[in-house]
Formats: sequence, structure tokens, C-alpha cells
Amino acid sequence: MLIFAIGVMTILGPGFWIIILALTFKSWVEFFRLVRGEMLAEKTKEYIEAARALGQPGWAILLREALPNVMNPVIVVGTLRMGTFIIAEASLSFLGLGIQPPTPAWGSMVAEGRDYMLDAWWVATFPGLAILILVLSINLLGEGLRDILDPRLKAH
Amino acid sequence: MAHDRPLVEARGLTKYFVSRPGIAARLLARAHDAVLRAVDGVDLTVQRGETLGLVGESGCGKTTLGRLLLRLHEPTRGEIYFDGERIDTARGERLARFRREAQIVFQNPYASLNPRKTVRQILAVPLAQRGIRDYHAQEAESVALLRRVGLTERYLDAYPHQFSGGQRQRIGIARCLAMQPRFVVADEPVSSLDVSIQAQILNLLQELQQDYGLSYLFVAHNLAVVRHVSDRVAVMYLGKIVEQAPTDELFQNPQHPYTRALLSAVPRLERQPRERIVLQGDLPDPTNPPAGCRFHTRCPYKIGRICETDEPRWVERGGHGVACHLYAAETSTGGNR
Amino acid sequence: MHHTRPAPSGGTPLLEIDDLAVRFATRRGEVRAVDGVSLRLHEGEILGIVGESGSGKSMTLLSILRLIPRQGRIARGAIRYRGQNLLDLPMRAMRALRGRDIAMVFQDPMTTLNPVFPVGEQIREALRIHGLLNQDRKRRWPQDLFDRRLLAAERDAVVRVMQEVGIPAPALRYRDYPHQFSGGMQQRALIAIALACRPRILLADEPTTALDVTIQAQILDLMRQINRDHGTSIILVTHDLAVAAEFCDRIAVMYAGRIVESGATADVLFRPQHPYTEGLLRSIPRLDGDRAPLEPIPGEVPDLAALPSRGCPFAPRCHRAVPDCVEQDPPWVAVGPQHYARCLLHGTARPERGA
Ligand SMILES: Nc1ncnc2c1ncn2[C@@H]1O[C@H](COP(=O)(O)OP(=O)(O)OP(=O)(O)O)[C@@H](O)[C@H]1O
Ligand SMILES: Nc1ncnc2c1ncn2[C@@H]1O[C@H](COP(=O)(O)OP(=O)(O)OP(=O)(O)O)[C@@H](O)[C@H]1O
Ligand code: SF4
Ligand SMILES: [Mg+2]
Ligand SMILES: [Mg+2]
Repeated sequence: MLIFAIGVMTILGPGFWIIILALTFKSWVEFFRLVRGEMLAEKTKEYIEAARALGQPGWAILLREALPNVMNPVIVVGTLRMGTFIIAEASLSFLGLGIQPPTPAWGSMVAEGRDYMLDAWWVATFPGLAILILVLSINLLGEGLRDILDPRLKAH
Repeated sequence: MAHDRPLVEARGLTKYFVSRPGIAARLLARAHDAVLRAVDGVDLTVQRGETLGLVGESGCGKTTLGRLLLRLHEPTRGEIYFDGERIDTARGERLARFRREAQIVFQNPYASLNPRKTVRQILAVPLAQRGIRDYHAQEAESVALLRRVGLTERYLDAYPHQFSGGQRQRIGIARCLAMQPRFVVADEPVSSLDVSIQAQILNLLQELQQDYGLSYLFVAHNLAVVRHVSDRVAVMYLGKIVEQAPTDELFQNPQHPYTRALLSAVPRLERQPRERIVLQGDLPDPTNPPAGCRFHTRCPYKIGRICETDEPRWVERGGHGVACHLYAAETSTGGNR
Repeated sequence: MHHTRPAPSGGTPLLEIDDLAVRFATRRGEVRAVDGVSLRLHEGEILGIVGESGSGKSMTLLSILRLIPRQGRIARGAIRYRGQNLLDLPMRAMRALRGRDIAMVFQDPMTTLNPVFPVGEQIREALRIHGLLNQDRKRRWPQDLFDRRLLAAERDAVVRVMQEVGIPAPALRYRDYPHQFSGGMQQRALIAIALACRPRILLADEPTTALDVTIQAQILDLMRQINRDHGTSIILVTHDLAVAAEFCDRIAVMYAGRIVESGATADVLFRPQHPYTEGLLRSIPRLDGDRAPLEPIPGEVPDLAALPSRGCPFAPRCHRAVPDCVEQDPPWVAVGPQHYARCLLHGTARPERGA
């Protein structure tokens, strides 16, 4: 993913939207495949058939019955990926290919701070820590979301 | 509508499933399209207020037939009439009306309820289809439905996983009743339940039939259960109906060799000595069914070449129909075909 | 036609379970899955255990082989096989005993056979593990893989076993994978594996529940034939009373982890003494006779984690319960020759052991 993004950056030049475009372009397929696989499994369950027998239109079955049941893995993978994206963005910025000054970015802050590591260690360390904490908390958030959304995990 | 007309009628109903192997399988394993005739030319009627039992080995096409009658599968061929009206080609408003009047109860009480919806939400869908959209009206109606199937309003906001199998089956029945149907396909509704719960659900289904004049297609592989609930019974083998008769007649006087074998294989509490017909082998591959009579590969009464080459005609006498060469010879005029 | 043999009464039983208790620690509290079960199995006998789901039938069987799931434990009791308490046996000896002396067949053949190996190979593996193939020599790997003569001999042994359980054209089907077998054939293959070592006891946990009636009849015939020809004792677990009626010499009825009634098949089914057995019999539709209305047992099977510590667990659903039923543990009472029931209505006669 990173290599692909670097390729895109070198051709189109660095920039905020270009990063988003490059990262999205490379990873939507994964979500697509995931949702499709889960949907195929869910489609054969009898409650979907029951909904059809009740005369619910196709879109309603898709959105109201099936989709909530396939969201679990999507949320899990989504939050994991979000961490990867943040790190990818940080890496690109670190390499100078991502977000350009004067817009601040944690990645480029780490890159700049690296030169003053011995005199002022905190300049590079804290943006780095911030990245770490953000990624971790997003993962925790995902886990929490999954538990809240699943009625089976709720206490009776 | 004329009232002597059956509520549901199928003519020559057929469903093929075609499996298309991928390119790699075609090249490497020389696989080709396989046509599976899950239901093959079935004629069948269900009268008003009647229960038609449908029995047969696993994979013979019972579920497919039930779903065809509800238009949950599109038939490959054949016609379906509901209350005299042709519905296999119905669209739009006519189909929607049919969907309200024909419902299904499933076998698996665990997969047939959406795990993310409360009972209230599950029942709201059919009630809304019926035009009851107001929250309080829905609640009143849901409570009435729950009471009708032997649950209480306490359960209105519970999720399916909080119920036992029998209770879930009751919720499934309530969902089906919410549409006020006239015809219900019950696809093995008690097969996965414990015997003591089975009896509760069977009694409930019978009460509902009396109260609302429902017609059932009752699919099951437990012959004792089918005998208990059905007015008439149809026996299916590899996509075809091989025998059909009023319940007592079928169980006392089975004609088709398959029906006889089936009845003789069922274990009985009474342990009366009886003739046991042990069938050799298994159900043949449904993508490549035997020619002639489909049962000839296992039939202990096979009368000769004719069984392997000619498909037996449907012969009906006094409401007892059978498709077997043993009986085709006896009468010169055929039954309902 | 099949008929019941008189229940053997004298002699030491081949297998004797005494006051067995299995517990599971769960979030909801302790589950008493098996609670004081006592059973006897005699040489050459077929014993049926019937009961609704969750009544502890499988756990009782699994305890015999000491195969209960990790979360559970055997809290008390003894399981004596030819006088030896299996619960005291070291794990090594226990493993050797499994399959060789006591073998098991499970409900779902699909999940018991390994989908990636041919069925024939799996039977051969079972034979090998118990050293039934070329006992005289140690296995030498990898020469074994190339020794044509040896392989052919082993293959023949496997084909013989497959033949015995009625798999048609065994030589041709040797290399077939499980998915190429029908459910009935898979179950035959599993029986072949279980019988490969001529065990003295066959434990069958709902071996025909997943099969069609015509196939069920074939499998039950096969097991009956094995019982007759080799004198193998069988414990059959089932929830189908009719299957038990046709197949078993004696029946034990389980409810909520306990045996509530046991005796010769005809006694239990035609002269039931426990209200639960009575209720079960009244709630199943019959194939013969009048189509009488069903009389279901009200309510549901209790949650085993929330059973009261005293009283009869069936009391809340029992049509004959008296106030004392929730106060007092019902005694195990002889209600006829070799016929016992655990119910207060039969008085508080001197308790007896063993089923
Ligand atoms: N959607 C499908 N696509 C392809 N084949 C199917 C499909 N649904 C069913 N079949 C096949 O059609 C045949 C009939 O299946 P069906 O489920 O109707 O049998 P059944 O009589 O209900 O069996 P059971 O008693 O096991 O429920 C089977 O061989 C099955 O594999
Ligand atoms: N891993 C486990 N953790 C907690 N409880 C368990 C576990 N396994 C089984 N149990 C409990 O033990 C009890 C007995 O289970 P068992 O499997 O012996 O029942 P059974 O009579 O074989 O039922 P079935 O007919 O459904 O197979 C059940 O009530 C079940 O809740
Ligand atoms: S037609 Fe022939 S093979 Fe088929 S059931 Fe009748 S006798 Fe048997
Ligand atoms: Mg089916
Ligand atoms: Mg079990």
C-alpha cells in the first residue's frame, strides 16, 4: 500500500487529498470483498427468506435485515485499517511526500524533530506517541462499538 | 370465487437448479453444467382448511416445493393458482396481496429470526405490511399475537437469543400470523424441538388452524408427526410425488413400494411384528436421476425392464393416487393427467 | 423379528457407573450437567439412555471415556470397567483403553470424519493406532510408505472392515473422500472405525439422528448384528423413544442430569412409573392406533445452572406433584422387578443403588 501511495505521490505530487485518494484507491477492494462474503453467508439464512415472504422489498431486506448482521467484521477491519492509514499517512509525511508545511502533521513533525533528537527529544517523541495513542484508541473504540452493537453481548 | 375450488393448486410445477462450475474446474476436471431437478412436474392441491402432509427423504425436494408455492423460488416451469388466481406470473400489487395471504414457518428456530431485532421489531415488519404503522396500535397487536402463541408481553423487547428453541418457534409463528394468512407452509416446524415442546407446538398449530381456518402444507420427515396433523399426505421421491392419499388410507394401505419401505422402516413404540422392507443403498444422485421410474434402483418389487425405461403413469382411484407400474397395468384410464 | 431379552440381573456388570456427577463452571453459576447418575451395563446388553436435549446424556457417555470438555470436571463418582475404576486410571492407560475396549460413535458423521483424507485412509489409521495391522513388527518410517506388499495387506484389512459394515464396493471406495459419501455411508465408516478393534463396549451418541428413516433402519440393523455376532455391549443415547423401544433391552430415562426411571424396555414404556416418562409417552404422536390428541408436558426444560438445591427438578412441570415434591429429594425406589423410579409418589422405601 505504501509503495503504491509513494508511486502515486511521485506522479501527482504531494498533497492532502492526493494521500486520501491514493490510500482509498488501494484499500476499498478489501472492504468490498469482506462485505460481499459476509452477505453471501447471511443471504442463505432463513430470516432473510422470512422477510421476503413478508413481502419486504429487496432494498429493505438488504439495509434493515442483512446489513446490520454483516457490520461486525467490517467494524473490526475498519478500525484496524484506520490505524494502518494513520501510520501510512505519517510515514508519507515523514518522507516529505504527504501533507506539506505549513499544514502541521504528526508525521512531518517527527521528521523535523528527528534533527534535534539530542537537544530536544520531545519534539519528535510526543508526535510519535500521539500517533501511537490515537491508533490504539481507535482499535479500542472499534471493539467497544462491536460489543455495543451486538445484542448477544449485552447483559440481560 | 367458487368455493369448491382448491385454495392452492400447482400444475406441472418444476424447478431446476443449474450449477455452473468455474473455468478452472471446466478445464482441469472436465466439469460441465449440472442440472439438478429438485422438483420435477409436481401436481398438487391444498383445500381450504386442510393440512396436506409432505414426506420424503432428505434432499428429495420438499423444501424447494414449499418455497415454490410461496414464490420464494421462481419456477422453471408449471403453474400455481391461489384461490383461482394465477400467481406464478403475478407482479406488483397482486404479488404483494399474495404475500400477505401465504406465509411460512421455518424449521430452524435459530436462523429464522434476525438476531439483531427485538420481538417488537420483528413483529413490526408484517404489521406495517398490513397497514398498522402506529406505535401503540402495533404494540397492542403484538401483545395480542404473543398471547395467542402462548407468550406474554414481558418478552416484547427481548432479543431472539434470550429465548429457548420452542419459544423462538412461537415467535416465528406469531410473525407468520401477523400477516393474517390463509395458507401456511410449515417446513419441518417441530423437527429441531424436544418431544415435550414438539407436542406444544403441534397443538398450537392445530388450534390456529381451527380458529382461523388456515390451510397448511406440512413438511416433515417424521411420519408419526405427519400422520397426526395431516388430512392428506403426499410422498415425494427425487423431485416427484409418487403417492398421495387421505392420511388413514395412506398409512393403512400404502401402495407405492417406496411408501411401504418408508413405513416399514419407521421405529414404533408398539413393536408389533411387521414385515420389514430394507431398502438397499442410498438416494441416487439427483443431478443424474435414474431413467424410467426413479425408484427402480432400490425397489424390491421391480417388475422388469419397463421400470427402467418408462416413467410410470399417475393412477388415481378414490382419491388415492400412485405412480408405479405395479398399478398402472390394472386400470386402463389414468387419473388426473 | 426383534424381541427383548430378559434383563440380565445376576453377575458382575461389565461397566458400572456409580453416583457420577459432572459440573461445569459458567458465568451463570455452576451447571450440574450430570448429577448422581448410576448405571450398569452387562455383557452383551443394549442399554438405551433417553431424554430431552440438555439432560446430560452426552456428558454421561463422554465421562466413561473421560472426554468431557475442558470447562467441565467429574466432581464425584466411580466408573468401573471390569472392576477397574476408570477415573483412577493414568492417562496413558486410559488412551490405550479408548477404541480398544470402549469405542464411541457420534451424532454428526460430517464433523467427525476429517474432510481432507480419504475415508479408507482414516479407517487404516484407526487400525494402526491400535496396532492391529502388522503387530509383529515396529513401524519403520518412511519405509512403510513405500513397501508395496505391506500397503496392499493393510488395504485388504481395511477393505474387509468396510465390507463388514456394508459399504458397497469397498475396494473402489477406499480412496473416496468423506464428502463423496452420503450421510449413511459416513456413519457406516465411523462405525467401521469404532469397531476396527473389536471393542467390548460401543457407545453410540445419537448415531442416527442426522439420518433418514430408511438409512436409520440400516444403521440400527448393523449395530444389532454387531451386538449379536460379537457380543459387543452397546449404550445408545437417543431422544427418540421409538428407536429405544425397538433397539434396547433396557432403558434409562434422564431428566435434568439425573436418571428418573430405568428398567426393561417393555416395563418403562408400557408401565411407566415416573410422571416424566408418562408425560413423554403422552406427548409423542403414534404411528399405529387412533390419532389421539397430544398431551404436552407444560413448561420447558429447567436451566441447570439455576436448579433449586432441594426437591424434584421435574416438580414445576409435573401433573402429579404434591407439595412435598419441592421440599424433599425424591428417593430411588424399586417399583417392579429390575424397574426403578425416582419419585416421591412411590413412597420413601429403602433406597437402592444402580440402574
Ligand atoms: N438454492 C439451491 N441451489 C442449488 N441446489 C439446491 C438449492 N436448494 C436446494 N437444492 C438442491 O435441491 C435438492 C432438493 O433440496 P430440498 O432442500 O428441497 O430438499 P428437502 O426435501 O427439503 O430436504 P431436507 O429434508 O434435507 O430438508 C437437493 O439436492 C438440494 O441440494
Ligand atoms: N462446555 C460447557 N459449558 C457449560 N455447560 C455445558 C457445557 N457442555 C455441556 N454443558 C451443559 O451440560 C448439560 C448436559 O449436556 P449434554 O450435552 O450431556 O446434554 P444431552 O442430553 O446430550 O443433550 P442433547 O440431546 O442436546 O445432545 C447441558 O445442560 C449443557 O448446558
Ligand atoms: S415402477 Fe417399478 S421400480 Fe418403480 S416403484 Fe413401481 S415396481 Fe418399483
Ligand atoms: Mg428441507
Ligand atoms: Mg448430546
